[in-house]
Amino acid sequence: MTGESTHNGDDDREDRRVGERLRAKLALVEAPPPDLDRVVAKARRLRARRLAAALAVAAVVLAAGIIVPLTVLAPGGTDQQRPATPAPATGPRPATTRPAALPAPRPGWVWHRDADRLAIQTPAAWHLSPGTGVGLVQPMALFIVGTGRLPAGGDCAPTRAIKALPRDGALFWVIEYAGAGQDFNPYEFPPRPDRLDLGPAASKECIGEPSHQLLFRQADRFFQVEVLFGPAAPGSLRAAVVASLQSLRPEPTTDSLAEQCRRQWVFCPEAAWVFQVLNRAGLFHWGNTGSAIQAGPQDPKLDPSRKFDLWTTRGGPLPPVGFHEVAVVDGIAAYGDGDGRRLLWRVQDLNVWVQAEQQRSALPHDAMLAKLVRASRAIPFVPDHP
Amino acid sequence: MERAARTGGGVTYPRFVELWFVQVYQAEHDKVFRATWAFCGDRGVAEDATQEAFARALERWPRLREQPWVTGWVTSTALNAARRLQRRRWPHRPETAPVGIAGAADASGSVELWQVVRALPRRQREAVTLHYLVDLPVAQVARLMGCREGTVKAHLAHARKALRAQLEGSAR
Repeated sequence: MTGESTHNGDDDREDRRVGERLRAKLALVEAPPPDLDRVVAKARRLRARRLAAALAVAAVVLAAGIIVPLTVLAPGGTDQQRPATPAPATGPRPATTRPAALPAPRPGWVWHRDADRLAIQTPAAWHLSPGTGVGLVQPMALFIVGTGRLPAGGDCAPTRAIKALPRDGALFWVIEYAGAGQDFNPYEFPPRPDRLDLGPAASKECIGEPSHQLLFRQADRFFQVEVLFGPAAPGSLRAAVVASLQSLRPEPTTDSLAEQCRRQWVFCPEAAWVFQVLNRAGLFHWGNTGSAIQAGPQDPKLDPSRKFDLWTTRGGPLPPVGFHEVAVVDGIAAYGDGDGRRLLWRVQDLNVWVQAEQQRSALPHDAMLAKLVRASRAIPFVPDHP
Repeated sequence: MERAARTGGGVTYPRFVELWFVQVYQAEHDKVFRATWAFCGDRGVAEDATQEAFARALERWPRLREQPWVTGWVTSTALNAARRLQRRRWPHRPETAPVGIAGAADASGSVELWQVVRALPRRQREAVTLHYLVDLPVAQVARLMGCREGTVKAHLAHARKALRAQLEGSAR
């Protein structure tokens, strides 16, 4: 026990007793084996990202010919000045060119451009603050926009700004994802539609209040927007928020989606297709490994030992050496390997692979396999980027 | 704990991961994982969050290595990562859904106890995890949570009330 001297008497004893009992119970929970290699690999990615961010700051300064310190979210296209704020440590994207010129703003509106090469237009009276007040690092909160004041603070959401949201006000913040990992599934981000639609609001643990969520991909970058309205927000304000979001203009990243797809399959259109297939088949989505999507049965226990991976390849002989036919679903043959760990079928010129993660019995069979094969035939594969 | 010799410019991973980090990782991994699991109730999330927290520690190792509160920092980072992971998975798996607890947890006969822990308000849950499960002093917990010691003690007192029935039941 910690032996806190500030505790005394009964409180102190109870404190010790509670700690001892809880730790005794917790010791019975089996921990997975440590995996130092994965930790090192992840640290390497974090370090590369940090270095890239540092280089990007220098590149932005050089490209824009700016002598003064970077100003985060300084409004563009107007004479309006805002206090300079240090650039977020891990934020800016590598910039190789001068930012694109912006058209004239709507009457009464202003453009804002941030160090992460994202521009947005808002009514001049709205407030805008950098996302550095939110504890999100990866993914990263880029900025917060609101009709009222925006006090900084919060872990995974701008909690203080949410608390200060006026009854007739609105608040939204933009988050950017980069570097596929357990908490970023690039295939969940569809290309940005011509017209953004807020859709219904839903509650999320981190936010506390019902919010509208937008996930989209634009200029090869991945964005999440959360939008909150006060209970008495008028319809005109909702329209203004949509118009503001509609004006979002990200500068393209130097790391194009095609490049990212060459490095990691989860950035490819095939991954987006597999994601739709597993949703159509009613499977549970666990996340991704970078080269595959992890799925499993949608049962109440959500047992991770029943996870399996899905990915695609093209071409090659069918069946491959060592594989034999295990089922035929609506005329499509599915093949299994001798080991009972892998399945494969070909549809729409794609080879769909399934591999059990921990135990062979996790491999989908019978009804689940049939659902998967049928879904893969029903959902057209659309290569929306190279 | 024996410290590895310092390299001139700090650690030079990934070619070389300092022995001291390896020792801390091996010594504290299970503790951080269990605390994160108790906090979030999801084995997969706890595992990923633990990995992420140690990766962040390794990335910052030159600054963290001398600090006596490394384990607290890693645990606190893992709890934040777990919250973020659960938030990302939210549309697919609400927190209220049954969680995939490994057999070992069931074997502890404490499923209800951990459910009570996870039902605590977030700040109370955080205080309980850091103070009772990771065994950090209140002062350190306060520092990690960014609040006063009195606030942590208040969180712990409220949490104890909520946990009393479960703990007394399990002690019999």
